[in-house]
Amino acid sequence: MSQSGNTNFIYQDESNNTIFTDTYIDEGVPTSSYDTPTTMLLESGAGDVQAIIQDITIPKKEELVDSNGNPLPADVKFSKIEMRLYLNSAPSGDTLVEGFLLSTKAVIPHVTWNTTNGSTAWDPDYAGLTHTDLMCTSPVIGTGSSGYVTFTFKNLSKNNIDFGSNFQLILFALSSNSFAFRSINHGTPEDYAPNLKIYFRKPKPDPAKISIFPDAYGLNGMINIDAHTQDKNLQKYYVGWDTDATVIQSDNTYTITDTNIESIALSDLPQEALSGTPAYTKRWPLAFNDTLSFALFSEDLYNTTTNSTKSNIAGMAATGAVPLRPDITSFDSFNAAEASDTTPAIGEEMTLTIKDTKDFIEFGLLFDVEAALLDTGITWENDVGGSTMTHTAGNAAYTKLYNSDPDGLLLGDMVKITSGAGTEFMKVVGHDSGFTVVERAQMNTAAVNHTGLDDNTKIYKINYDDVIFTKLKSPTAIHSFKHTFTKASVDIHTNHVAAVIKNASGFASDLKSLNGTTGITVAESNPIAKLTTSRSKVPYAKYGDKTAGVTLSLANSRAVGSNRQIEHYGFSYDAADADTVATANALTNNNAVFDSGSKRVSLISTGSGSLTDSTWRIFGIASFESNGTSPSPDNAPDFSHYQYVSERITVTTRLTHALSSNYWKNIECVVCEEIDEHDTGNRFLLMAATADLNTSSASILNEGDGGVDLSVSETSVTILDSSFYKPGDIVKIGSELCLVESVDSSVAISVRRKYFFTTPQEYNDGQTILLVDREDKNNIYINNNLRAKADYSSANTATKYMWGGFAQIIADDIDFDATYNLMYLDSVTSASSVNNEDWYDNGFAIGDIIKVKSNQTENGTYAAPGYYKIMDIQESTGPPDSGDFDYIYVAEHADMLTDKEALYVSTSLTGNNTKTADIIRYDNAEVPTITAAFYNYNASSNTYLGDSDTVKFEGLVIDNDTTSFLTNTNSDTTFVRTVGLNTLDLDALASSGDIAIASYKIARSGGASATMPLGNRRYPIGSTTSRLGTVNMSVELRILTQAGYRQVYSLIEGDRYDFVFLDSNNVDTPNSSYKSFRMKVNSGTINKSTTLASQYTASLNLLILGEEIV
Amino acid sequence: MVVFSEILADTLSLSVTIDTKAIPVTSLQYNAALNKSRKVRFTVVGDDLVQLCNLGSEVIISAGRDRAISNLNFTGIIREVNPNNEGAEIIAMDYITLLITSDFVNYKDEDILGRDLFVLVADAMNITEIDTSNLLGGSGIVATSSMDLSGLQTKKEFIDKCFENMYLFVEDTTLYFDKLNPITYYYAIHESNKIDIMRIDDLNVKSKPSLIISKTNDTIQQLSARIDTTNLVNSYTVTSSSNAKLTYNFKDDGSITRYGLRSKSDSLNSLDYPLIVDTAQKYVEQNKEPSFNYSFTIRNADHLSVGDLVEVTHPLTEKSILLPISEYSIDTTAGLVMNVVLGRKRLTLSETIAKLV
Repeated sequence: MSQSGNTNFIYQDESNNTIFTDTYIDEGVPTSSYDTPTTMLLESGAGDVQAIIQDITIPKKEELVDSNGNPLPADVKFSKIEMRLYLNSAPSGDTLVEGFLLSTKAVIPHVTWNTTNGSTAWDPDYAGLTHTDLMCTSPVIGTGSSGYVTFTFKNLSKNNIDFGSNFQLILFALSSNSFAFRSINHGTPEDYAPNLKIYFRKPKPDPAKISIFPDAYGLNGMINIDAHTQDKNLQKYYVGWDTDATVIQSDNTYTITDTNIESIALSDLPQEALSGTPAYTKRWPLAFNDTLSFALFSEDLYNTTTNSTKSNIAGMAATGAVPLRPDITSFDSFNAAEASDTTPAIGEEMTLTIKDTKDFIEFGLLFDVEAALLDTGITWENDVGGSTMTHTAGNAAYTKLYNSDPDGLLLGDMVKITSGAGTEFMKVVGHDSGFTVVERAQMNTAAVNHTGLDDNTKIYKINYDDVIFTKLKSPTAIHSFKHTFTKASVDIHTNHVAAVIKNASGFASDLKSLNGTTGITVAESNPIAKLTTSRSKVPYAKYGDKTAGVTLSLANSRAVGSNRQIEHYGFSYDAADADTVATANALTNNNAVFDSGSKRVSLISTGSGSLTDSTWRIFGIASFESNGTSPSPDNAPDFSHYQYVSERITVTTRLTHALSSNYWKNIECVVCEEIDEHDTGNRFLLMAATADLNTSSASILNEGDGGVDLSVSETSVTILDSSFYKPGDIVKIGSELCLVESVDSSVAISVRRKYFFTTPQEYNDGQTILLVDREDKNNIYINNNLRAKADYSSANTATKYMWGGFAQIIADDIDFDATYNLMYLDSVTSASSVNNEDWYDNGFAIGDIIKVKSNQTENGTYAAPGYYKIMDIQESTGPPDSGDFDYIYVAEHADMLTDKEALYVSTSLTGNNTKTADIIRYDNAEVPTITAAFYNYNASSNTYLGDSDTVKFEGLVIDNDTTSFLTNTNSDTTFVRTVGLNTLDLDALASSGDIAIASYKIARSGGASATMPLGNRRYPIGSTTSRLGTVNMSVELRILTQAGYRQVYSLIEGDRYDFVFLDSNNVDTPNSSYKSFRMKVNSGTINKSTTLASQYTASLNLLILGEEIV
Repeated sequence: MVVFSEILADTLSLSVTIDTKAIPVTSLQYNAALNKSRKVRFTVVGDDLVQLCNLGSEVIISAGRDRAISNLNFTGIIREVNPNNEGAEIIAMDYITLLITSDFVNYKDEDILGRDLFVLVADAMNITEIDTSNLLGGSGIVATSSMDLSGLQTKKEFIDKCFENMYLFVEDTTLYFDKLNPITYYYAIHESNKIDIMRIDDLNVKSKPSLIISKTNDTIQQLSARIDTTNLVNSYTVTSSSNAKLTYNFKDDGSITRYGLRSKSDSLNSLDYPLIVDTAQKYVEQNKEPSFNYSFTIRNADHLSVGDLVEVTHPLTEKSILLPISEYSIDTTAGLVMNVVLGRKRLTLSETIAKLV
């Protein structure tokens, strides 16, 4: 229904056009016209009637403004008028004044009682015929009346009076009292003139047309104004919304003054409380799966608030209607047998099925909910909310997520908080003062009683951008698809898959977790081990060189699970023949320390067993004096030449240097010939002899103590100048090596004594504190992973794979000393590599990186292990473990680490005693290959046998599981055939008279070249020797016997002998061998001629591969 | 099938069968590369043997020093026969070749979007002739519509599209020196018909090599390096394509000093200024050094396979670098001589941005 409006009482329009002209006529003076009177008299006495004549022009609506000064809308309809006249004098008695429509037009300036215009007669008497309808009536005007008298009108419509109409009234007083109204011509018309108030009706604005549409994700939405109200007098819109099928303007009213707005976000609308259990203080529309109605109300100046015009209702029903908010009724996983299955295996293809009661057209999947979580930067607000978020639905605080920015969380956000009580997802449904209103227990979580919340408790939310939507070809109420779980976890949050569906309107359901709170758990899967070897028939390393071994590789092994990588590799072996030894890492030797000069080497057994018969052989190039037998460092004056030699070293007492006599320049192969019976899988260290390390005389001792200045146990050393040293350096005092722990001042350093198994001595001032060259220090080990004994049959994994370098200590009592960066073993379990508190015996050594998990969690956990570098291992001097090398000193300065180590190795410990720890050697982790060489010996005679054997190798792979260092493992085995070598000694054949060696020639060629440069330089440049060149021998034989013929023939055929030997004898002592070459036949000929028909001659071209060295 | 039992320890053992019939061959060469079929080329002599070598026939080779060397074990089919007046040169490919010539498969969005690419390629590789039993697990990289994977295509085309997207960037100051570190995935058949997917994380300081080589290493020959600055970028300007005022230039002064200024600019469809800054920084971090590619020859190292990491120390590199074996060939003419090529995929700008945005 339209609403009315009116103008003020006006006497002229907005263009100053007068509304009134007026006068009066007097029956007592019937011929007088009262042109422009200031007052108009009224009298009803018989024969003396006075009447007022008014000419009224109702302004056009364009010329009018309403009572508020607003121009009248074009579509307003004329309604009525009121007129008021100002009493100039009151009547002597009560009277009414009536106004009639003049049917005979009067000419105001000339009208008289007798004539309308001074000439045309008329009879204007009350009962006369000059007027028709009664148009207006005054209220009773009494003797005390004053001021304005307001006349109400009627018969306006009957007489077609509208905006712009002109008509004339004649007003009569109904009783005889004489009184007067002021006329339009009164001196101050704005105060006293006749006024007219014009009423009109404003039609209602035309309704707008709206619809609701979803945002990109479909959980929030917009009201779209599809068709605006066209009424030009539109002033504002209101949005009303309610949770039933009807809506009125006052329902959750939201006012919009911008009438050009195209859309309104639903989350901009007022929130409404929701009663029940739980109760929500606020919630936006769409927060729940409610029936919803939205309407837009159009308001003009006259049709306001509840009178505004309502648009269509844009609705959303909870059930049954369209648009329907979708709601996943189930999202479950099924195995290949179509049975419900919430515990698939990694890699098992599952069918996931989404169901709704209504059709949906699009589905979205979040395959890794945890990975889609964003840190909102918003935290729990302890000041307001306290530290607890209750899990009781009836509690008023149940739905209140107090946080640092309640407005920062938006409708539909799925947030997650984690407390000591667990993890919980919640859906944002509203925000209120100081808290966000949430729906609890979402996704795959239940409501829990969160305690211990504080201002650091982070609030995460799901990044909906990570949801991957797929449109279906046709609507459906059920959709199935394949999925394979790629990682294991017993935690349902890890393989957390969630789905959402959208209907044809684009509105989305809430995210629904696969199998609800049951979720999915996927069992850990062991990695796949694949052990390969570089060859399967391997000769014994009787002639040890780089070709005399095998490489075992686990590189083709794979972890199972996208969150798993293989981290550790283990190797072990089992020889069928007890006389066969496989030496781990036999060919993996670092010869860098010899760059600074040939050096003797030491072999050290680290295991606790005292060895008496552990025999090793080293093959390589060593430096000698001219006699060929006296070893000499290659920087000594007597140095003459290098020889390819081998040297047997027998290791005895543990942690004692077994020194070579040769000065080595290059070590190709180290092989154990005989395992001592007390060897329990000892780790052997091959290192440069401490006496031969290159040093520089950096500073000297300057204690000033008098007497013995530095005792055997003193570690604080005063020197002249400490600027030469830095932590991690090795200094040499006398024959003792010391590790520089710290540089304490310009004249003081702290050291660790008796380093690398040297013996501490007393020193006096003036003693040179030598600095070991850092290159030598960094390469002091030629090989620190030598092992011969493998405990293949051990049921303890940490023991079984020690041969390949695996080492593990599980301590049930360990002390961490933060002051000195020490770890003391007080007690270990039988699951350790060796069941004692000795770091060396368990397979650790100086320089190793260890990975630590402890219940002193600052020092490492399984999920985030601590990494430390062992800088020293020493024995406690007191109980309980005196005699055991039971404590390690770990690096405490970055200078002690390489660049790579510095990235992840910690240099600080958290101190505590009597803790537990799981410690594993790490520096050899992720190395998938190992070399091995073989030997077959007679233990009693200490001689080489070379009997063929089959060696079983087993490779172990361990992934990076975060709950244990040794949980997901797998092993693979392979066999290697070890064989003795078939050789032919040409010298022996010659000695036995089977052949005669007519001549031989040794030649080496290639490897070096030089080029003459342009210009006048006399000698060439670019003479780098890239290799020594290929060396070969050609031999001319005469075959004297059938035995000789058979063997030389076999030699040329190529399938009988691995190697052939021939000596090159000394010049000065022709019967003693200078070198015995080890060779292969490259080509050969056997000739027979008539010259000597009973014999053959043969020519052999031999490839020299090495020397026969034993 | 063992054709002949060798006597000596250091002799190449060889067994070649074609459709289960043992044949002697007079030469044998292997070629392997990441994401490609392994190829063997061998020669047979005599018409009788040529008759056995039909296109499509199954070839099984057991080779090595006493045949246990898995990398020389090969199963595939004959793809090419080149007869000559003595016999024929035969080229056989492993079963990846069947993926190239597979039926066209219509990969639909609803079947692939959101699934782990590892699983998708494992499914695609799962044909009768290929053993995919090792392909358990995943990569954590899921298929998205922007990868443009769907459509009618051969399995190999689909697999290669997946692998083009199977990389991710990792930031971890405890594991990497650089800010932006790609982890990439490759595939190959190393042995027989068993296919494998390799995850190459060569910049991780904890990754260890299968082989260490250097210029002075006495086990390798013909080490050569190609140090390429073609793709080096040490000054990079990123501008928003939506608002030209949003622009950021990042320079690495150290790289500019060493290698000279090499600048590049590009636009990014984003108004997110922090993202623009981050993209510029990360791209320079990733490309401020030249790319190093090495090749070398090594004997009797036939346990190495494509994807294995090799540590290289070279005077031109300040520190040793790990590189995966990207391809190799093994020639058996005179010993077991393996030519190895090392190198990693260098990601393009668009590939970099695809993972950053």
